[in-house]
Amino acid sequence: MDRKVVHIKVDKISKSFKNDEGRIEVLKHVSLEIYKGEFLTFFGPNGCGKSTLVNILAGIEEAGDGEITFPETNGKPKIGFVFQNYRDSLMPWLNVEKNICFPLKLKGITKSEQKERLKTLISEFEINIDLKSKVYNLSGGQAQMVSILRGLIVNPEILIMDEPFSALDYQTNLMLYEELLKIWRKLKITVILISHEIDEAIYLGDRVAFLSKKPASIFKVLNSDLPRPRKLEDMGSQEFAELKKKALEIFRNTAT
Amino acid sequence: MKKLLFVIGPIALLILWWILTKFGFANSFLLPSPEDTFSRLFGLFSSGEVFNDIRLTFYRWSIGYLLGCVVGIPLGILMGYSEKVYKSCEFLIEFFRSLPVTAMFPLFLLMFGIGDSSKIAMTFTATVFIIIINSAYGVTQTKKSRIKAAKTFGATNFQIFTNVVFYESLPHTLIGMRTTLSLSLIVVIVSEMFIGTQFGLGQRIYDAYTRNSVDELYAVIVLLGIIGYFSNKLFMYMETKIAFWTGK
Ligand SMILES: Nc1ncnc2c1ncn2[C@@H]1O[C@H](COP(=O)(O)OP(=O)(O)OP(=O)(O)O)[C@@H](O)[C@H]1O
Ligand SMILES: [Mg+2]
Repeated sequence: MDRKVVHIKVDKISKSFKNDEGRIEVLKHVSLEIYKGEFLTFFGPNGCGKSTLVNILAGIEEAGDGEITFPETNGKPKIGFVFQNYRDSLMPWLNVEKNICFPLKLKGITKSEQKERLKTLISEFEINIDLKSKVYNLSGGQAQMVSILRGLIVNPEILIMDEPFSALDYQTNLMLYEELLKIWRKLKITVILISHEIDEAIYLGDRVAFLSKKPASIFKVLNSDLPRPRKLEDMGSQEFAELKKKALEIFRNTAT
Repeated sequence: MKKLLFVIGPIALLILWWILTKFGFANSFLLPSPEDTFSRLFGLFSSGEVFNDIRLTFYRWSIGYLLGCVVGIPLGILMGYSEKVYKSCEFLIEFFRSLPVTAMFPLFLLMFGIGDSSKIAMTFTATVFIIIINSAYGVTQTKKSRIKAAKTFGATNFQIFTNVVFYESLPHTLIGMRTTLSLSLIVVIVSEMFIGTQFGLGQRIYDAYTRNSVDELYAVIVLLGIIGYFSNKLFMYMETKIAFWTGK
C-alpha cells in the first residue's frame, strides 16, 4: 500500500471554549497529515483536548481557527465514529440489529436495504452476537463491538475511535485489538484511535501522535514500525520494548 | 409459594374485620360485617344499579385524565427541551401543582357549572401539572452522549427529538402518568360527592351516607379500592412492557 497519500490534512487547528473564567484554550496549532489507510493513534494526558480534536475531525465541532482538508477526496469523506462510553452511546430501547443500523435509519435508508448492508457487514467478520438481543444484556466487549459495527455500517473511509477501550477490562481489550486489526486489514480504511494506554497506542498504531498538555499541540509523532500482521505476543518483543522506551523519553521531555 | 404470599395480608385483614364485627368489638353502625358488605356489593352488581355509576365515573375519569396526558406530555417535553423555558415556567408549574385542586372547587363550579365539565376540568387540572413536570424532568435527564452520538450520525434536530429524547423521557413520563392515574380517580370521586350529580361512584357513596346505608358505603369503597388497585397494577405492567429498558 502506498502509505504516503495524504487522506486528512490538519492545518494549524486551534480551539478554545468559553467557561466561567473566560476562555480556555484547548487546542493550539495542531498540524498533522494523516495518510490514507494508516492506523493512527493519539496519545496524550487527560483533558488535553483529544476528544475535541477528533470531534473537529469528524465535523461534530467547528475549529476555532485553522483548517481540515481532504486532498484526495471530493468533499468530505464518510466518517464512522466509535465512542468511549458504549453504554451511554448505544440506544437501550433498540436491539443489537437496530443499534447497528441506526445511522442508516437516520439517513432514511429502507429497512430491507438496512438488513442487506448489515448482512454483508456481519458476514465479513465472524461475529457471534445475537442480533435480536437487547444491548443492555451484552457484555462490555460485545457492546463495544456493536458500537464498532455501528460505526462501520455507513461504509466509512475513516473510522474515528475516541478511547474505545478505556472502559473495558484488559482481557476484553486484547480480544478486541485483534478484532479491530482484522477489520482494519480487511476494509483498508483509515483508523484514528485515541488511547491513554501507551502499549495500546504502540501496538495498534502505525504511528503514535503525542499531544502535549492543554492547550494541546502535537509535539512528536512516533513511528511504530513493528511488522504486520501483529500478534499479541509482539507486545513482549524486544522491538516493542524499545518503542516503549522511546515513548517514555518523549513523555519525559514534555513533563519538564 | 412465595408468589402467593401477597394474599396473606388481605386474608388477615378480612379475618380481623370479621372478628371485630362478629364479637361486637366494633359498632355495627360504623363498621358492617364483611358478609354484609360483600353481599351488598354483589347486590349492587346483580341488580345492575351500579353500572351507570361505574360508567359515568369512568367516563369523567378517563376524559379528564387522558386530556391531561395529551396536553401535558407535549408541553412537558417542550419545556424540558429548552432550559430557558424550563427555568421560566418551573415556578408556575410547581405552584399550581402544589395547590390542592379540591380547594379550587368553587372556582370550577363558577367556571364550568355543575355538569360533567367541572368534574372533568378538575380531573384534568389534577393530572396536567404533574404530567408536565415529569415529562419535562425526563427530557432534562437525556444523556448528552446519546444526543451527541445521534448528531455524529447526522441526525437532524427533529430526528434527535423523535429518536432519542422521546425515548429517554418516556420512563419518567410513564411515572407521571401512573402517579396521576390514582390521583385523578380520587379527584373524580371527590368532585362527584360535592358537585351534585345523578350517577357516579362518588355520588353513590354520598347517597349511601345520607341514607345511613353503611353496608353500601363500604361496598362502594371496597369497589373503588379494587378499581384503583387493578388500574395501578395494569399500568405498572404496561410500563414494564413499554419502557422495558428502564433501569437496565
Ligand atoms: N463544550 C465544551 N465547553 C467548554 N469546555 C469544554 C468543552 N468541551 C471540552 N471542554 C474542555 O476542554 C478540555 C479538553 O476536553 P477534551 O474532552 O477534548 O479532552 P480529552 O483529552 O478528550 O480528555 P479525556 O482524557 O478526559 O477524554 C477540557 O478541559 C474540557 O473541560
Ligand atoms: Mg476524551
